[in-house]
Amino acid sequence: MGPQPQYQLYNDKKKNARELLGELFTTFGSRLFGYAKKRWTLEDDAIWDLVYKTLFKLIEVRDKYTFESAEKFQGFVFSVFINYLKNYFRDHQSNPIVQTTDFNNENQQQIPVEKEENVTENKSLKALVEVLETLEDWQRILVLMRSDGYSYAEIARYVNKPENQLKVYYQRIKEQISRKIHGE
Amino acid sequence: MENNTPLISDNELRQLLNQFILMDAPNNALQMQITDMEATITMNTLPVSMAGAVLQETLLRKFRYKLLKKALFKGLIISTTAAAAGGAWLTLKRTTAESGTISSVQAVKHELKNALPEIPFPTDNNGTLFTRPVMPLTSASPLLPLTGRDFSSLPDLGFTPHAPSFIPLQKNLFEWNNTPLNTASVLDSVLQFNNIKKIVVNTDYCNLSLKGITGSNKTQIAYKIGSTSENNRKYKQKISWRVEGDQLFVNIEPEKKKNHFSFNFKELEGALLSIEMPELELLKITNHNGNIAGQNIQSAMLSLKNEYGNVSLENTQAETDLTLHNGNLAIKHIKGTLKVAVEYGNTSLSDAEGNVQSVQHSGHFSGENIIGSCSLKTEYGNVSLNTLKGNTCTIDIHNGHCAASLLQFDRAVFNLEYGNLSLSNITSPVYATLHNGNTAIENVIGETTITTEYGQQSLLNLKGNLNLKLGTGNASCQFINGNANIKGTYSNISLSTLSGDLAVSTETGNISGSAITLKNSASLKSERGNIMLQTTNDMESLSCNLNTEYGKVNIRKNATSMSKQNGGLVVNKGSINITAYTQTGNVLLE
Repeated sequence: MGPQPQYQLYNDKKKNARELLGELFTTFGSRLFGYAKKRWTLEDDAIWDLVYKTLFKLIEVRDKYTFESAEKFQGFVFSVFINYLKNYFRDHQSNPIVQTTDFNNENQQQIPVEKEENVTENKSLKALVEVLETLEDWQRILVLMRSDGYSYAEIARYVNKPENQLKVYYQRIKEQISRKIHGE
Repeated sequence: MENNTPLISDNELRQLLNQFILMDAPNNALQMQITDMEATITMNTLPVSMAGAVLQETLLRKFRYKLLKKALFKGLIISTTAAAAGGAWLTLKRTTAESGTISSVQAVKHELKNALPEIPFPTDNNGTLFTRPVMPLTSASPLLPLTGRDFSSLPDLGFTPHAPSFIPLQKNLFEWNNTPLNTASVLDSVLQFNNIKKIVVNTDYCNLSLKGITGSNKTQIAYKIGSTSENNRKYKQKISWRVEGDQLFVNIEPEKKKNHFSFNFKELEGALLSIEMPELELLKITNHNGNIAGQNIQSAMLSLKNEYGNVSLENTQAETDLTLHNGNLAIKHIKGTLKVAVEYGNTSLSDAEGNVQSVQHSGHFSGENIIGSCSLKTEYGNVSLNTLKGNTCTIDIHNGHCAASLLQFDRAVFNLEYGNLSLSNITSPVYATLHNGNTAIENVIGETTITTEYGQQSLLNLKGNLNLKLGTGNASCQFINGNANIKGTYSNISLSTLSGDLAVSTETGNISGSAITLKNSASLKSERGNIMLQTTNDMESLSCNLNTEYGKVNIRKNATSMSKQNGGLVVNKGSINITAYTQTGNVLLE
């Protein structure tokens, strides 16, 4: 018999909290760190703080939730992490910095993300939301993955579409968003 | 779309998505769905940016500390265990030893520490050989992906670079478990000498305690000879000493030589010899069997040979030469040149000041906080290093892994025959030669030069030029600030976020580059494989010569869109030259 999936361990309310923490850290610690490290320019320590907070939160609320699948549990873990990330930027009253493609510590170009604001006040964000709302699920995954630097071949495995088609769709989606941003 | 409407870039799009994900919009179904999708992508693909092995250890330590704090304040850990168990903190041990009491706060911390979960470290195929997480032998570990992104997603070439096969490490490296030194035993006699500057000791079966003292010129020797084995058989020994000028000679030997062969020395309780000495010019110890513990030794020269038994030295100031046949060696706080030869046993060295030279046949070497040049050789065993500084560092391993972090040298050389190399936070030019093993290197300031026959290469965050010569195995290079000169034979080569020039070639395999900022030129060549280059440079600054004999050439950059089947595309615009050639495969410039 293989090891018990994480969500089942989490569902097991009798499971020792300390052991569960260790298990959760092993499974999610590096992934959440990797995600935040790649996406947001934060100090390693800050990211790990958020990871720890997330894991402790999971333990704290374990009695309230039960999950029927690994996917749902993963989604929950991630949502908790995202909430802490939001809180972090709010508490530090700083804008998150998005890494640009030019990685050079001395001359690093960093684009500050605009402060939280209502969608309606942010033209670009509004355009993005409008386009996202019209897209099918697989197209949204395409946008998320491709903008994150995944190759079309990798994305194709996720969304089960031919690679060449994905390139065309992605290009069109970007065109749609660009047009909306520029008010065409 | 009209040409004059600028197309949103991937980065800008990503930035908007990030904003959207972090936006404060309770119960926004779309936002929740996008977050869910992001979770699925994040959790089901390999993370791109990973903490290195040593960094992970640090973080694990911090994690435990966090657990501790949390437990103290929130009462997460309810039950605690008794305070006197082993495995306590070093500070606690020290407190206990010095004063015999434990303060209440320390006791609580100690209890909680013992109650904390043991977070499992990765182990290799032979069990836990490292005390810290290290790069596993297989690339399948979720903790330390060796290749970053999944190379299998590249178009199939009908070719798979085979994973290197490793010769397994020795499973049972020699572990010596001799009887610990029993200082509580009643000693037969005590001898005192004045103004001794040189001590030469020859013993057969004996545990030795060597202690340096200050403020006195007296040398004191206490001994208990004649051991009894478990089956009560007497092993008779005799002691002899003589003084010649400022030299003291001490011998402990069997009364009858034939006794040597009639006992299993492991059963012996061990004779005892305790020496307290002032600062010396020479201390030379030769022992056949027994443990040796030294404290506060100050001697111009220290020579120590032990056939069977563990040796530990603390607070030593000497030019030291240690030779052990079977046994572990532990050295803490040493000043002076250190020369170590261990046949079967592990060596641990911490807080050393002076050049270190170590030769081991079978056993691990771990070094921490060393100031001085290092030359380490092991035949069968791993080497782990943390926080070293000096002129040169040379590591030669025949069969074993090497994990090192926080090195600062003028030159760091690593030669591994069979084993993995994991380096992080290195301020030094790195020269690594591996025959059969994977490499994971991150955070290097200095030129990195790697030559491998079989193995996967993962390189992250290098400041300095990168020179790679690969036999069979893939290479993943991310965040490089410098030129990349890579030659592969059977290799997929993936570059991401590089600022510099490229000279990349492989006989069979794909070459892909994303987020490349070219300074002067890029030369890409693959005999059989696809070439994809995504550069951040503007098309107007580029001149391209892209060729394929069987395949398609595409340029899709800014407003330029060109395509050709089985042939070449030439564009002359700017001063940055890009040449790409493949015999069989596609070429894409974005």
